[in-house]
Amino acid sequence: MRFTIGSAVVRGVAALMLAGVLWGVTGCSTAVSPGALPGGESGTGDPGRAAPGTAAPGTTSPGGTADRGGTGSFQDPDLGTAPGSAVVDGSAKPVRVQIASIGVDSALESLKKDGSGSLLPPVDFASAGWYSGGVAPGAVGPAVIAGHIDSSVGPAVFYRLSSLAAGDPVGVTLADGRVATFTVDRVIQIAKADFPTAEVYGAVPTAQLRLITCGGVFDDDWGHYLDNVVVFASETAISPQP
Amino acid sequence: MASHSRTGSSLTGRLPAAVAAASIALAVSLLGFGGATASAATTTSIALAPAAGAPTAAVTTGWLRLAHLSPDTSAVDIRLSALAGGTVTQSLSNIGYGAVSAYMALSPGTYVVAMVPTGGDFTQPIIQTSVTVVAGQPLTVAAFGKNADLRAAAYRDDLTTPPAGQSRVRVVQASTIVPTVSVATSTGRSIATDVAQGVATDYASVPGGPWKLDLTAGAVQSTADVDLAQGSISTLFVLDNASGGLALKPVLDSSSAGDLPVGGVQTGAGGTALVHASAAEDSNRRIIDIGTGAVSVLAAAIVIFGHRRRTRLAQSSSDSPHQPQFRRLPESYQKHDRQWYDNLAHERQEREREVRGDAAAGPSERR
Repeated sequence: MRFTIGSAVVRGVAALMLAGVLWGVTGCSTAVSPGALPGGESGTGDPGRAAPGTAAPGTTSPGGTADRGGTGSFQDPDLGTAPGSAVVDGSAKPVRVQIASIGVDSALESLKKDGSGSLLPPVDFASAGWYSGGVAPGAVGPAVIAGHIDSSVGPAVFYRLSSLAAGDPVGVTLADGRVATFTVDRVIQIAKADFPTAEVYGAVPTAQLRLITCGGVFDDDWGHYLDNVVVFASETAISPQP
Repeated sequence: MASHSRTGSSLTGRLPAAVAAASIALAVSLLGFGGATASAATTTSIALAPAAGAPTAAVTTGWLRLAHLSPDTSAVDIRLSALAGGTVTQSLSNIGYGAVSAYMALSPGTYVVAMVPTGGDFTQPIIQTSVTVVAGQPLTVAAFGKNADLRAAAYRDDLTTPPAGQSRVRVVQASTIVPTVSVATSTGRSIATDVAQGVATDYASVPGGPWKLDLTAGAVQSTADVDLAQGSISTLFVLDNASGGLALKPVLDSSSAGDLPVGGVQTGAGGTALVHASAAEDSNRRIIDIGTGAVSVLAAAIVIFGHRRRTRLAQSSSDSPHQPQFRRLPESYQKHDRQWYDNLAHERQEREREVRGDAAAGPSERR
């Protein structure tokens, strides 16, 4: 949390006052009073979270039910998956990553965490790896693919990762044959000491991808690079199952 | 292991957008959408402030998803258009009861959501609402209630990453047959109590995994099986079914990387590094390093000096009649012995040929 309670309260009070002014200006009827918006985070009573009523009162259609799409009786709800969704259910594992703009076409190792919680890199310097303890590419959440920038003797699979730019496409082939296409949003280089765990691995509402390698200065004593390069990408298409 | 207290040149400044987004005022204007355009429409305007802490400067879009939660309303078409200009941004068709769309990424701004029966006329929406999207904040806009009393709600969805091993879940009560509903796990852990119609609860944390849930609403009871993966954030929509009972629809709101890794990844061995650094931290190590360095410099000096000396001798060999192995002349040779001079001249010629040959072959052999 980056806000102090004090500033949240001040902001909330201001917002509430403004809401009240607008309420008056628009001459709304008092039939509906603004209530606390349901949802959001813990119910601390923070007025900053106060919001317009959950719902506005509907006006009854004067013209019967036909033009309003009324069915006259209850229906069974659609309990299936979201319509218009480009996401997958996460059951299909990724098998290959392709990034044409930097010449990457690699199979994927299955990556795990070590005892301290750090993500272990691929064993093979020539191969990228997918963090199998996380979400699958194409499913909601940040799927994580990591690869080495170099070995001790020369370039490795993600040697040119830092040259990716916003708009570049990244393809991930799933075990069921579908190809999820992601589009690069941004690329950051950041000290491992300051690694933004929440930003990279934290919750997101859409299917996204993180590509991770190393960068910056190599510390000869530590035996590692001091920085990580992280590519943030969002899913923009998924091919139908062949 | 060296410890790294290096102050990184972080590229990210995550605070400003959150502050900017939070400054958006909460406003409501309920406009009776009467007259020529849509006599039957209900139009609401709902602007939401983002949850503190969720947005980051790097995230430039917000997200919106749409839900049809009215049990006696047929499938609908839904249009999302920018309030300014009226450009249609998204269009969904034939969305049936219970359907919840995926999130659509939207530029911050105010949008109008309009619903019509499938194939209907968008100049006469059955419900219409405007909603303000801010960067980094996901929202759910739902139409709920019975068809004759259709209402719209906008819920602010949550992006707080669940603690390790946990999932987060809330309830949206959209059933029309019971006034309130309570949801608890079969093990007795309460998720939401006495939730009124149209209300979305706060999120509760439960251990990730499969759960059997009990829905209780007075005499009406129901159970549902849900799988709440660790690291996931979900909404449980309480709905009606065709036979007068309750149904539960779990929908994934968002997800973290599951079993969350911590910190960076060691994805390089330095073979191509342009810049190397040494970060030895204790003085003993430094003394050893200095000592090693001094010995190395000394050894290098000896090698270089020796090499230069040998090279100078070799270069001077053509000027001098004496090769090192010929310096010590046999005692038997007499200084004025002609044969001695002849022998010496001959050997010298042979030696010079040999040195020239060595010099020519030398560089390739040394490689």
